[in-house]
Amino acid sequence: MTDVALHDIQSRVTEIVADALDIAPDEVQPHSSLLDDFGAESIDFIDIVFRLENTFDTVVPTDELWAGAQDVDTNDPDSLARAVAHLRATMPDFAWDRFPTTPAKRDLPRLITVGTIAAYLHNHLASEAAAKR
Amino acid sequence: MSGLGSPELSSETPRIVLTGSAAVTPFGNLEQSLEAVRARRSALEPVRTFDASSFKESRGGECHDFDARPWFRIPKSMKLADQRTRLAVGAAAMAFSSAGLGEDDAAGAGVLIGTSAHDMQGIDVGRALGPMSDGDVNDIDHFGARILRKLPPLWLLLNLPNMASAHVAIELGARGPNSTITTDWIAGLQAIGEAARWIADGEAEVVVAGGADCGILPLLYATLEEEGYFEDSASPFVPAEGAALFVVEELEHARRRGARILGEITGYSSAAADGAIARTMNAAMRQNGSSHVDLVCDAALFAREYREEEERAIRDLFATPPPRFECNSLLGFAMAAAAPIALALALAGNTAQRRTILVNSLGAMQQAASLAIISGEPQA
Repeated sequence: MTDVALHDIQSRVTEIVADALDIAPDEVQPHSSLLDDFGAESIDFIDIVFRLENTFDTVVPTDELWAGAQDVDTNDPDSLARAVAHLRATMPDFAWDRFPTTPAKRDLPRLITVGTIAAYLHNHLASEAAAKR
Repeated sequence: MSGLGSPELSSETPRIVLTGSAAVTPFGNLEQSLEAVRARRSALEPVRTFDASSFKESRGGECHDFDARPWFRIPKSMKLADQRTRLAVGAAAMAFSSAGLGEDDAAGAGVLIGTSAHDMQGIDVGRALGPMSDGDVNDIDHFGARILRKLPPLWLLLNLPNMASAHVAIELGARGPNSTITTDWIAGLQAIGEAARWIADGEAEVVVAGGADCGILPLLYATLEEEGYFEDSASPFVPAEGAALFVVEELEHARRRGARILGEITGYSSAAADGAIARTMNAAMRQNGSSHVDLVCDAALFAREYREEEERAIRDLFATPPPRFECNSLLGFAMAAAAPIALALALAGNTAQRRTILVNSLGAMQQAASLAIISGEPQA
C-alpha cells in the first residue's frame, strides 16, 4: 500500500470506528475521543485494531494509537509532555477541558481519535512503503 | 426437590409458579404466535440468512421481523450478542414486564437459560481458515498464525454458550444467580425445572428461565443432513430460531405482590439413556400427585426412534392418552427453545382453566426432561 492519502485513510477509519461502536458515521468527528465520547472499552479497541489490521494489511499497536504520527517514549515525562503539547496544538477541537493538564499513562487511551489513528496509519504505511522500495 | 434422598415434593417445599411469559418466534411475540398457531399458519420459508438451497431441507423458521435494538441499553453491546442471545434479551425483557416486574425488582433476580450452543459463527471460521494452499492445517504453527490473524477477536465472546444468560442479566439488571444449561434440545425445558429448584433451595425468589436458540446455521444444516434428519418427508425436521422465557417465582412472593399467576410447576424430572422419557414423565406425574393430564406438549419428536419411545411411554402411563399439542410443524424446531415455546403457547391458550399440562422434551442420547404444570391460579 503506497502513498495512501490521509483523507482516504481517515474516511476508512471513520467507517471502521462507526461500525465497531454501532454509531452513525456522521457522529464520528476526527477529534471525537473514542473512549470519552463513545464509551469504547478495551474489547472495542481489540475489535477496532483487528479491523484496521485487516483493512490496511499491517500490524497496528494499540498502545501507540493515541500519539498519532509521533514517536514517543511514554516512560520519559518530557517526551510524553511534548507529545501531548503537540496534540493540543494540532487537535484544537478535542475536548481538552475534560482532559488532565498533566496526564498519567492511563489517561492516554482517552486521546485516541479517528484523527490520531489516521495520522498513525498514514505515517506507518508511508514508512513501510519506503522500506520496501 | 428437597435433597438427594427424597426427590419427591414434600409439604414444606415452597410452591413454585410462573408469573410471566414471553416468546419470540417467526410469527413475532407470544400473542402473535398464538394467533398464527391457532390459525394453523406455517412460518416455514426458504432460509434467507444463508444459501440453504443445496440441502435436502432448504426451509427454516427465521425471526425476520425481530429487532433486538430496543432491548439493548447500549447499541454496541449487540456486536457481542449472536442471534440466540438477542432473542433471549428481547424475550427476557418482555417476560419480566409481563410478570408486572420492573427495573426496581431486578436486583435479586436470577437468570437460567438453556441453549444448544451450536452457533460457531461458521462463516467467520471458514473465512479465517480459507483455502489451505499455503500450508498444512495440521501444522499447529500455521493453524495458529492463520487463526490469530484472521479470526475476529470477538469470535469467542459471541460463541460462549453462557452469553445469553449474561446479556439478559446485564440488560435486565438481574444480579442474582446466573447460569446456563447446554443439554442441547432439552436445555430450555430443563432450565425452567432447575430454576424451580433454585427457588425451592432459597437461591432466589424470582428467576428468568427458559430457552433461546438459533438453528439457522449452515454448519448445523450440514450436520443434520449428514445425520439423516432431513430424510423423513412425512414428519419434516425444519430448523428454526426463537426464544421463550418465563418468570419463575415462589408462590407466596408472587401473592404478596399481587402477581397474576399463569400456572404452578408441580413436577419436574430429567434423565438420559434407555427409557428416559418414560422415567421423567413418571417422576413428573408422581410429584404432581395425580396422573390426570389434560394436555401433553411435545417437542423434538422428529427423530422416529424418539417419537416411538414417547408413544410407548404415554400408552404405559395413561389408560386414555391425553390430547397432544405440538407447534413445531408450523414454527420449525427452535432447538433448545422448542419446548419452552410450546409451553408458552399452551399456557397462553389455557389462561382461564386449571388444566394439567405435561411438557416433554427429548434429545440426543435419549436425554429427556418432563415438566408438569397446572395452569391458572393455584388453589389454597
